Amino acid sequence: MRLYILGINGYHGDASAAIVHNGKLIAAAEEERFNRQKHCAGFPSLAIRYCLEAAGITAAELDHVGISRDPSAHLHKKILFSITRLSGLSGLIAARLANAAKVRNLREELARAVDVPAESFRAQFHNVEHHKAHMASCFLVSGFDKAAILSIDGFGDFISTMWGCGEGNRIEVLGEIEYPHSVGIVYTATSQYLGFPKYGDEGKVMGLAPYGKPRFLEQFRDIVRTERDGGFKLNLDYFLHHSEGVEMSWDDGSPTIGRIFSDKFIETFGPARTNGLSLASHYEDIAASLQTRLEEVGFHILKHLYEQTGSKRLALAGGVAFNSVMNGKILLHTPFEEVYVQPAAGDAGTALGVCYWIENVLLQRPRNFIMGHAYTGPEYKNGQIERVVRSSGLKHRLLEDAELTRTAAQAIADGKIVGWFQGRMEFGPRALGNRSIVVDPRRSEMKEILNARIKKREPFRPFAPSILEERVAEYFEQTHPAPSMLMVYQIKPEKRAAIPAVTHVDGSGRLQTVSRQSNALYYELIREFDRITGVPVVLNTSFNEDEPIVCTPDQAMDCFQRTRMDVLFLGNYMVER
Amino acid sequence: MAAGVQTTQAAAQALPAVEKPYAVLLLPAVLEGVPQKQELLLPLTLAYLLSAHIAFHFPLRESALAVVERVFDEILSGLPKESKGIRYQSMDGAECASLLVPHSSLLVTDDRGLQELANCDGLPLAVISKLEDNSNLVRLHHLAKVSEVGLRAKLASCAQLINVQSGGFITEGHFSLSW
Repeated sequence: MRLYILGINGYHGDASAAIVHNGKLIAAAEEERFNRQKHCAGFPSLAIRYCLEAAGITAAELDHVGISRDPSAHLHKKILFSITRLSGLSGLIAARLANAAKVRNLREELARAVDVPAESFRAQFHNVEHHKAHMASCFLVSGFDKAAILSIDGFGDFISTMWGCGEGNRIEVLGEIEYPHSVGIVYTATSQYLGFPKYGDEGKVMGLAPYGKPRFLEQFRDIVRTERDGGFKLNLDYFLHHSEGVEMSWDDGSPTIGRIFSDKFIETFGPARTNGLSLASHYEDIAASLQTRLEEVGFHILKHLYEQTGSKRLALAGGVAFNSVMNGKILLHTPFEEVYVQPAAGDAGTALGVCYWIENVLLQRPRNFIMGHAYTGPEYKNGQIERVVRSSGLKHRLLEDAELTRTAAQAIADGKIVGWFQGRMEFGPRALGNRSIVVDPRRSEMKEILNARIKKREPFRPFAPSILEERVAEYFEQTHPAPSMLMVYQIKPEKRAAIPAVTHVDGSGRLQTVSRQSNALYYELIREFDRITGVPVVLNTSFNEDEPIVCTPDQAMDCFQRTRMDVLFLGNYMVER
Repeated sequence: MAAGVQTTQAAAQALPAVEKPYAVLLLPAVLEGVPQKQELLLPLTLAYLLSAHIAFHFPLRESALAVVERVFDEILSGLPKESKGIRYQSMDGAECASLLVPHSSLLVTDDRGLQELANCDGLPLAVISKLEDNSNLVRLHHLAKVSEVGLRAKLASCAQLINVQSGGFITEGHFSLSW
């Protein structure tokens, strides 16, 4: 039987949509790529429209629609928490909710998004609890028949961490950690303290950590206390979210979060760093201590999870699963032998999880899809690209595939900054060779050049390598595949000098392993670069300039012209200034 | 027990008439057999929170006692026991309607049929409903007749929190509880 399922992540950061037809993922994309607002937290109207278009159906033809939030989940706990913990404020809370919040239901919101009457839908509507959607998003598309599952993030539906066991079409929840205890919140609060207050800035702190020493580890052990049952609790003295609430606002745009750390944080670590001040070693040491504690807590949970499940396979999701430094150490510090991290491991991926929760768990239809790559977004044919190229007035020529990769590889080897726009856009935060800027990793100056000419990132942040999958063992200490750039491994000491632009200060690299199967054209590009240079590695950074990753050829051309990129390969067109 | 939830039946047989004012938690599921945990979580939570201001009587069949106690244990875990008591009353629906309800000051129920009763008698009433989309809705009736200010405020706050939290999604603006 033909069955279409639409999954939605809405009213959360990184709003997104995904569509599945008879168990196969047809399309998935974040709203920010379409409306150009980073981490957009509204309703993913444009992403939904794209998904329907990619599937070739109208909203009326959908069989099931789900969203990765269930307001009824843990409702009694939310009410108890509000009334008993925020004593004296309950009346105020109720008034604020009534006055400040606009509440809509999913059916009406979808009808508005696709501009049809709500009565025209034949679909069944579902609410899937946030962390169950995360768990489904990694396990059900992992290809593992049985695995331990961990979902770990800030909060969703009153839960910060949920773990369990997946087997066949079944996901059994074995444990969870409730609000207000969350390692995601600890990371966000410390990032704020360190002067990185924006939604999604936690990755910057992860990049800063290797510059410091974890000399505040004991303090962070006091902040996050592990428990015998595999869980953890926060020392709430360091936080405000549990007592005063934390204001989160988005107004259909990028989310902003109010201050989470309390004055106790300042008493313990000194004055908070205000944005723009230099990063003294004191702050680097705090970042290092935070990262070390996160890893300790993560491995504590995982060891317990292994004991509970006995499975050596792990499926991992949630915003904390973007901590690729922790991910890269899982195989070294826990009994797990295989790890699957879905490319859109954060909240965007819950749209995917909703689809597969409905398909495999609710409807008990057989699992028949493995998410082996992240290329699920829009693509543009050379005919569409030609219009953009011609209207730019820039010098251009059309190349055959073989000539395309050869020419691009030579440009990279010549030290040029190459824009590489090919095929379907990636789902998730990483550019994985279809919306990428690619440069030569052998040139140590490339990091500074990229920052000066395009990226404008903080100088301490590393750039990442893409490497041919079969050559990983030559360059890295670990070889477990990392196709989604969500693992950081140590680069072999003897190879660090060969690829200095992608070697972080501690000798690590956040690698993307590239196989012919997952991305033939990008694989060929790196292979050509290897033929020219003897190095099967390129530096890969996202195609953008302080904005969401480009989606369309127009956006790519605009970014190319705005910045000081040298050459752009837009489909089979080579564009030069 | 002066404070906290009364968790044994034996000590809870005092006649309600001598304990005014009192509230009644009336759930058909516990009068008819063994209820599901999910049916009990929200009503028992609401009753516990309100019981800080008024004692409750909770009629139920003995067969429902075990699951009720388990759910109460889960709800109350780690919380301060700010309660004037929730007393179990072993009786059926008819006894409850004739003995308990007429003298009560507040009725909390998930039986929508009792809405009419409240409208006739002017009895303060909180009706918890499960809607088609699985969300919960609390409707309050004759709230103005609840004389105790703290109870009235708590009832209004709880109802509003449940309705806002359960009824849909906060789509824009500011929300102070970031769960």
